[in-house]
Amino acid sequence: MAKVKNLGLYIGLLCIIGIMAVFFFDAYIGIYDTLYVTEEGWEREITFDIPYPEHIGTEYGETIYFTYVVTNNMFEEYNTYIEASVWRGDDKNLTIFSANESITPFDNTTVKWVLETEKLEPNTNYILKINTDTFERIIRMNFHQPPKEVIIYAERGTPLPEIEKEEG
Amino acid sequence: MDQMKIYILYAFGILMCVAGVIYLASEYIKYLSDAGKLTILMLMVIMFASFGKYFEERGL
Repeated sequence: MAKVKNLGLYIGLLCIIGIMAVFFFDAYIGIYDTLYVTEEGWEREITFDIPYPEHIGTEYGETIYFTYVVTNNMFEEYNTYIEASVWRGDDKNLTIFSANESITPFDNTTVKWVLETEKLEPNTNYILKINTDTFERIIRMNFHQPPKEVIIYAERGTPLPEIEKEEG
Repeated sequence: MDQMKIYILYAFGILMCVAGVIYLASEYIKYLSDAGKLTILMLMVIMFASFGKYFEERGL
């Protein structure tokens, strides 16, 4: 068998291409989720790729619309339980959505739910937890309510009471 | 003296390349699955062996 010239070089280059292919393939294969939040008419995409929890802050009384997309980039069917719930500290206040979903390979499923902020309390820190069989996503929420009372400050220039000088 | 400068530049370039590859690997290795990490490890072993053989044959 004739010896291929520069065989080591070609194998080495093929290995480099293989390493890059593994990176691309591994990044594509898997289960991914994305949340779309519409508050006060604005839609925001949350991909959960930052190391700290996302935050939703809107005015109390507004309705928040959620669209949660789970993508199955695997070769087998993915069955999962999806639950979205609102927590205040360690207490679960409200379950907004829960369902079992089955996603075929290289497909996605979209679930939607609505949060009426009037069901919660204003100016309170809440946590929205989205649980699936793979993920537990945490989003901080706070619904601010402007104060209803008008605070009237005293007029400036009010004369101070005279201080009697001690006669000594 | 000029030859020495060229070698210093080569060394600096190789050092920067190695540092860049180590930095990128440390950043992106967390996104790989265990199977992907094992595959890459095997490919790197084959790659270094092949390049080593190639340079040995060239007499470098």
